[in-house]
Amino acid sequence: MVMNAESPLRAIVADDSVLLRDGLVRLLTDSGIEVVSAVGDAGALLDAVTEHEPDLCLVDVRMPPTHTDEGLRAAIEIRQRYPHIAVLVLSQYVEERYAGDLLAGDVSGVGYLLKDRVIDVDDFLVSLRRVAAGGSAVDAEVVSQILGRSRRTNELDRLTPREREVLNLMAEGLSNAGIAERLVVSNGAVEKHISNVFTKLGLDVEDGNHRRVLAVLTFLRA
Amino acid sequence: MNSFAPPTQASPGTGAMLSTGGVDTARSSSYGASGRETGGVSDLPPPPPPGSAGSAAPAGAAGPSDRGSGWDWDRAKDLAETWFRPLTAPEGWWALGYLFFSTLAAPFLFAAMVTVAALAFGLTFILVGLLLVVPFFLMVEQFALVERHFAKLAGHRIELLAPRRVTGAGPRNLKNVITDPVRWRHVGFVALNVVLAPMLFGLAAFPLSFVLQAVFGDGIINGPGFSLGTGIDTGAAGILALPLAAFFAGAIPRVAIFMASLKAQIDSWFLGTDRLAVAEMRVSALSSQRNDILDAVASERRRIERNLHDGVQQQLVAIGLDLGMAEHQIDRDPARAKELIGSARQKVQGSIGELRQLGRGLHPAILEDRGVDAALSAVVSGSPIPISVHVDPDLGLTTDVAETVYFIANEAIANVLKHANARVASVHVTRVGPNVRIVVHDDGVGGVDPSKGTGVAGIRARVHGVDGTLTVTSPAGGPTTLIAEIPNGR
Repeated sequence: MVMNAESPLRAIVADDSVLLRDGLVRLLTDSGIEVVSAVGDAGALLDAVTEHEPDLCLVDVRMPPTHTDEGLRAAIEIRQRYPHIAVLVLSQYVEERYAGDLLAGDVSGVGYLLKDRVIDVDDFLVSLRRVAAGGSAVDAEVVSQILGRSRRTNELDRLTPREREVLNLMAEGLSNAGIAERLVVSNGAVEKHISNVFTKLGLDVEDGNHRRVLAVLTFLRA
Repeated sequence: MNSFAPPTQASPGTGAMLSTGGVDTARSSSYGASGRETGGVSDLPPPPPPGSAGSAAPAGAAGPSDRGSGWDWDRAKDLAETWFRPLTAPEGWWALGYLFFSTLAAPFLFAAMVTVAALAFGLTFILVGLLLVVPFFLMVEQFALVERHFAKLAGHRIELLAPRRVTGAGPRNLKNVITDPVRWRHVGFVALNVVLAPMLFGLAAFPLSFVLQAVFGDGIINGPGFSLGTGIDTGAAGILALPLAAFFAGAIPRVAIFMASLKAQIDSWFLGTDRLAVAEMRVSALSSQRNDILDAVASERRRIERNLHDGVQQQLVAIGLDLGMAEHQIDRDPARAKELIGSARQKVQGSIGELRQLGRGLHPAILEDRGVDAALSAVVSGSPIPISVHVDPDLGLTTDVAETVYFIANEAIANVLKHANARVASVHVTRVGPNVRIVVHDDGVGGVDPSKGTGVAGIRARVHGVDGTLTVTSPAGGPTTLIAEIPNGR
């Protein structure tokens, strides 16, 4: 595990399931992230954020008392009040609308992942660090759901399967190098695919990870 | 419990002779239930055909034997007896009396009604009339009751449709009576009866008047004159009048009974329980029950979803996380990895237990295999307080009913454990007539408000969904007794 040379990331974990919360705390601690607070509901989360001003919050969507989306609302509030604090929201199931609410604004330092992604410890930590560093992470499931429901699927139909795959990975928040690694192709090939995608969808070609996610999502939501 | 009695098929009273089709079957079940005291009419064979037999019978009975030569004497005698027997039975005369009294009373009641109405209307301009509105309707209600008493004479029971109660003559009561359709029906009936009663009485009395005229002649009714009553045969008309009079004599009670039941039927259309209204009430009760059930189903599904997502799924994620971390560390720190795997195994056991619980809440397999007793015993075996279970061994429940019983008892037990803070509790499942009764008793803190709390609401929805009844007695300080009674099989 690669440790950060500088001062360790400071994180808050908010999840009402004690088992999972403990697991997440252990995971973060083991990977060199300092967990400054672990809480079980949205109110406690907001209090802890005010108190600790961490670098990152790991937030469960569903928490007491209503067990609906208070975690998400707290996450949005944190984003508004403290734009520099990264928020990674964990959801028990794919809910495009939740993701839409969260990603409606600036998507730098925002992530929305299915909860079970934590099982794949390495990938999860990569996403987590990407979000903490101001990038973004959107769950592949969410992306494909948005893609599937997009009203502009006709234009998406013009993409080759490979280009679609690249778009998916872009939407998830991966960098060119990350995509190249995932697809086991060269960086140059990825760049070519991306420029094709942008051309076909009529988007400006511009580098920068989260901008691309924003662009892609904005386009897909339209 | 079931207020909606199916219509009983034709009451015996009217029999074949007076078979009035729709009128007969439309009469409400109260008729069949109360029964009629008389049975004689129902045994009657069909009426003699209007041809030879019809005239032969009266001839045989009324005429001298020398006229009957060559005829089947015994058969004619039988027919005659059958034809005239109702004359000696009381109900025909009661029916006639009913129509007679109704006819007699109708104009007076109508006049009284119109007078008071006119008075009320006239005085409305000085507002005093408004004070008469409520008494007016109360009076008309009494008139309707009078008619009901008359109908009783003829053995007809009219189940009165109750109007809304009034408690005074204030504005609210005023509005209450004016907007009550039942009261307007009373008014309509009293008005109609002025015409209806004499008309039906006239029809019913026609055979009687014919016979009277035939027997006593013009002295009573001035007809075209086929007098026989003078004792002198006055020719062709008299000869014709004799069998006709005999025929009509037998018809007197039959026609009277028919007209009386027709009148009673019309009465009950106006005054009696409106079966359509009853059905409408039933429908609205059913649809509210259905909504309750849908609500209960929805909240159960939410509960199940929450149990799955917040329980088992979270545990699985936590297990996955443990295993993922173990995988991550197994080379560098085998002891730590082993620890993580052990933790994952423990969580797996917890998940299995939770799934088992969840499944039991949905549909306990033991219920089908071993019945309610075993299933409930399994429920209480894990209870922190002693709960005794008594289930009648020979309930003979269908699967549906058993499931409902189980659900109700299970939910009630869960409530006791959650809220009652009881030291001891008991569950009794017994058969009571056609129903199954579930009694859950505890010595806890009481104060259960049946209108609140999702637990009781769920039970109520379930009980009402099967047309059952639920009573909860729970004074503050306890004890609490929940009694649910549901029909055993539908």
